Amino acid sequence: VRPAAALVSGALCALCGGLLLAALQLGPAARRVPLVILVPTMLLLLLQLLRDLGLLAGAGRPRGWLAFPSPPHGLEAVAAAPREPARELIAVGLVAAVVLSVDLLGLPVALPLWLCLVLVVRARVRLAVAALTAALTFIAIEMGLVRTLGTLLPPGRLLDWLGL
Amino acid sequence: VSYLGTAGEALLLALSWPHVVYPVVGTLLAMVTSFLPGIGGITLMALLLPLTLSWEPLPIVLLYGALVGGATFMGSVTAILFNVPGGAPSAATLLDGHPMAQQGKARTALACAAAASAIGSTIGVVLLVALLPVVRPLVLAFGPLEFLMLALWGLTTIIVVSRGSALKGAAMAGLGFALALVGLDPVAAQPRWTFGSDYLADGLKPIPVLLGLFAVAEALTLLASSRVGLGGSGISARAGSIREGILAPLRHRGLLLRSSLIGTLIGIIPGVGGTVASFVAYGHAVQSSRDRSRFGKGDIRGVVAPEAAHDAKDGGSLLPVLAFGLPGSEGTVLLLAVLTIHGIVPGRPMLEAHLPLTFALIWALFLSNWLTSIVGLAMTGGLARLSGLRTDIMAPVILALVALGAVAYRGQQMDLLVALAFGVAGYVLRRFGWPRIPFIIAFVLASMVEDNLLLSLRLAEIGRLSPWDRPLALGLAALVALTVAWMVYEKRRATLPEDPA
Repeated sequence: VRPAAALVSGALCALCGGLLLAALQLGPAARRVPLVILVPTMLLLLLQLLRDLGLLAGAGRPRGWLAFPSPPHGLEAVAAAPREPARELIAVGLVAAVVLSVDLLGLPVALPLWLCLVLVVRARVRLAVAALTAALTFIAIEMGLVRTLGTLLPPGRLLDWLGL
Repeated sequence: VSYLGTAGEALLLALSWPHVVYPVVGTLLAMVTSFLPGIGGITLMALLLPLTLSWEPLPIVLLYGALVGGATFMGSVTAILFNVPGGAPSAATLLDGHPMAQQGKARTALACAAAASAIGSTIGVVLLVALLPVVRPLVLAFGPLEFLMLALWGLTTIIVVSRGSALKGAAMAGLGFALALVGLDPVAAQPRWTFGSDYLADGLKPIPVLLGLFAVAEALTLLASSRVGLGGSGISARAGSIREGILAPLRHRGLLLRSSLIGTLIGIIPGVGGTVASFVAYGHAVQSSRDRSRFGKGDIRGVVAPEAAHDAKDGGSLLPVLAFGLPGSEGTVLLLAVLTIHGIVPGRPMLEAHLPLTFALIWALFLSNWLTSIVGLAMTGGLARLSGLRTDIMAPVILALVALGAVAYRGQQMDLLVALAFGVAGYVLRRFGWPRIPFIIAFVLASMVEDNLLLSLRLAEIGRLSPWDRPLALGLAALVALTVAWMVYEKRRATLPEDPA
């Protein structure tokens, strides 16, 4: 049994199952293609879940016609380096912080601020360099996105509440 | 004036002052923006569209021809050095290009990519010029059934480029296909999995999904790893031979030629695009090789094939645009829009009255591909040194670029949320050995498959379509069946690998 792997397989099963149930509520024409795709996908995911739960032989070792030699990709050296749960949580937290700060402060303010803070606190870059990077990011957003492309960026909720 | 005489006149025109400035500036702009993950040639083309409204047709075609061709190699630079493809087609290059960089052959991989790109693009342009007068009947013969079969053939190649368990690869392809169906049903216009959201009603777009699955997931990997610098022990920024890289495509000239032909052919077919060209060529390199054990671990053939196909595709993709006004990729969609806005109608006028303009566009594409490779090669040393950057600095910068690219794409902050959500999902999937490549290929091909499947079924229902009357479709179906049968045979024969998870 591989609990973490089974958890991921289970989550994918839940996602696929949810889409499958929602597809059943669609009209006959609209659900035809989704069902053709989702039914076999669900079966494959369940098979993998059973493998990860140790209820089916072959967990972690593909066999038969389903097995094939295939190229790996990714930052293998980096990915293979020791990972601590705390680091992973911090990484996901930093991503969540981007979303939260953009929602509260708006992209033009939040992104340069977030970048500056992360560079200083996490990467220990000098404040002047981080501030310069943040300033360049702000200019790129204002000049590139807002003025040239004419992108309408919604103001952050916090700034909206404060009437700024 | 003869056909080739017009081609020569257009070349002289493109190289004359001040016209030569446009392809050069276009190429340099495309190179710079392509170096930034997510802010690729498409955004740049869209950005320049309002600025060029008052221009004459010749500068327009020279600039946009260069933009179509100039972005490709630099997308591969980020793929090789950082494992972050500058565009979806460059994802195939990272499979072997990045492991080469990790083995201290960053310069070799970059030089190989540059040389393969330049030669591949030349083959693509030569074929374009040769086929332009004669290909029209073939492209016109493609109906929905042929498009469907072609897309299915693309999907079967997923299994070749997937890693680890095929069961996981097939499941990921299914999920990618399913998530691409989010939005309005094309027949009944009924919302599918939109949950009342206007954003989802428009469907999930490839760019935020791609940014998330690749760029954000990589940034998360960098942040979660205890390794501080990529150049520390895996990658030597100065190692590798430029000469070896340049000679590699010539050493594998058979593969180079076949990959260029694959790229040109796939480029000709509207809607398939560079991603499929790169991955099909990569799959072909794996399939046609006697020793496959090195693929995915830094085999230079894994750089030659996708790079040649990717750049050759540009020449092929211009063919349906110029002859029939059928765009074959996102880049050519924008090119078509630009031409139409300026009153240059593709089709017969483009091949007769505007033939010099057509050739100017082709020459701009040709020049930009070579210029990109030459400038890229000249900068290889400097670019390779970038891989020595600290990962804890790179990761937040990548995330910031993703945020900018996601929002710049169409000005919606929700695209940023989608990119980050897919990034976290991509990190988790990768951590547990679920391949992302099958997901993204199925995601990209899904709309083409669905549209053509429904249209084919409808035509069959009303008696307007019989597969037995469509030899091209039957040929493509036979190709799909042969690919599957061959893969099954190979899987049985192959040594079983351990699951990477």
